[in-house]
Amino acid sequence: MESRLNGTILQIGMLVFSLFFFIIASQQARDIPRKEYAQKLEIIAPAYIQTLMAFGDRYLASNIAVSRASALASYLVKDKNTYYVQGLLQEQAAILNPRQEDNYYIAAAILSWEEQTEAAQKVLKLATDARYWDAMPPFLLGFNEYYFYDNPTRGAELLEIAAERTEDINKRTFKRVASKWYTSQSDPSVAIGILNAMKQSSEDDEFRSYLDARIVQVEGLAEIDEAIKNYINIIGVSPTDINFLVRMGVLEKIPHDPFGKGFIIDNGKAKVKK
Amino acid sequence: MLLFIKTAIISGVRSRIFFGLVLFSIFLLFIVWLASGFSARHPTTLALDIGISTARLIVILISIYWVQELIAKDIETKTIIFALSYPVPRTSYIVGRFLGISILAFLSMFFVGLIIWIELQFNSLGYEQTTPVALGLPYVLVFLYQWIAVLVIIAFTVMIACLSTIPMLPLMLGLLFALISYAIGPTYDYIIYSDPELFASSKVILEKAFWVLPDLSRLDIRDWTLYGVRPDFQQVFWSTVMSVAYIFSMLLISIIVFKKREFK
Repeated sequence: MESRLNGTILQIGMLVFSLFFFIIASQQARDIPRKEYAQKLEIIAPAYIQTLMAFGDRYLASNIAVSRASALASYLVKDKNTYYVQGLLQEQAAILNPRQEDNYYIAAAILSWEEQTEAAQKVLKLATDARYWDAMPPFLLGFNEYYFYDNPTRGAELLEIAAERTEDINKRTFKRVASKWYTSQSDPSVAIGILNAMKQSSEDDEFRSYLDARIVQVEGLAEIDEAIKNYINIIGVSPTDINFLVRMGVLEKIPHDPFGKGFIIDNGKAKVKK
Repeated sequence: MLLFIKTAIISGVRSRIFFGLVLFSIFLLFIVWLASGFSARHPTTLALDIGISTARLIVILISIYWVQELIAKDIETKTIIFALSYPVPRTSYIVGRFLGISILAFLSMFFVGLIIWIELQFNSLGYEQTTPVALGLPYVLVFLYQWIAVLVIIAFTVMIACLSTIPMLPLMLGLLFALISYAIGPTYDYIIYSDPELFASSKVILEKAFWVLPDLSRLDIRDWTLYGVRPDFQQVFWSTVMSVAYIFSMLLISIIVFKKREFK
């Protein structure tokens, strides 16, 4: 009887001891910052509920969000609200797993072009920090600064980060482009080059045809911009209506927009209709 | 004790859920293959990522089921009275069963890990990723740490099985514990970063949650195999100590309760 009692006391002692260790270790682990995951959590509330839905697995939650976003991406024509939802989904996916490669890629290829540039930049910024070896996210982040925000200086700075992550020819190319951007304005031919490069490194047919459509759209913009330049050379003032270009003969016909939105002239530059 | 380990493994393998594991694994093969098709840029990484998520879920579910089947059911059907009539201390029943189920969980994790590994060998032939997956030592360690997390869940469920007089309670609480212990870390982070005011006012309660719940998301080091990103040493060290201490605590509570319990 006494030895049984002693045994129990010993076990209780051991229990206290191991509980002590558990609490110490648990507190220590709690305070270690989760580097990639912890930043920019403003919109995690829904993301966090998604984690619970994925049985506590944030990677799975992220993959589900990305697959939902890419499912949205397969429709060519859609309304503004859909892009907004896609932007939110992709931001959440990036917070759950900023290293998800498809996520930043889709964000750069679709969100940026559909007035969700801010969402795209958030996704790309998280990917730039978390995928510290990968040159693509800072490159795409920089391109968006250059092209959509008309901020070539910031774009060039980000290109330099991309250059640091590559070697040899790519490094030199990034550096060369960065030095050009430091002194330039946004240029559609840069956009066409980037869209082509994105197309080449993807094997998804639907995604590739989406990028093809986007290239045709940007080529249309470039063609109109060229016509505007010629128009100004002849008339001396900037045209206010795209039809003036055709009437003047500087533009053969209004280019086709595969997204069906059409083009307008805004402040002397060709833009896609909103 | 060896007897209880052996009978646990034998009945574990014989139970229907083992057949379920094989079915699950075929399902897993399909899921992994399907997942790779969803990715335009990193099919192998995505396949592996989804594979780990599915493997983890499968092993957690069947491990909790085994605890239910091998301890809770023993108690419910009174088979336990025969088991305890052997001239061995009750402690060895609990420890033996725990070790038996842990070995079963290890074998399951090994099995599903191997299946994914073999499938990835064929999968990666299709497309050259810019960031390849790390399938060597990191892969093994990622699965090992997934297994350690499952051990924590098994230990907790064993403790409930020893305490509970309601037959399905270990299964229910085991599942709930698995969910909460994975979600506690992200929840804590969420409150700190998104709502500092809420955090300040509930800091004391929130921090106390870590006194009773282990943060199992810390044991998920899959970035290592997915992207070649090494886990933080400090994190791995403290989360290992935390898990081992938690497992010991749960087993000791189980033993103390079980010794006092009367079976009629």
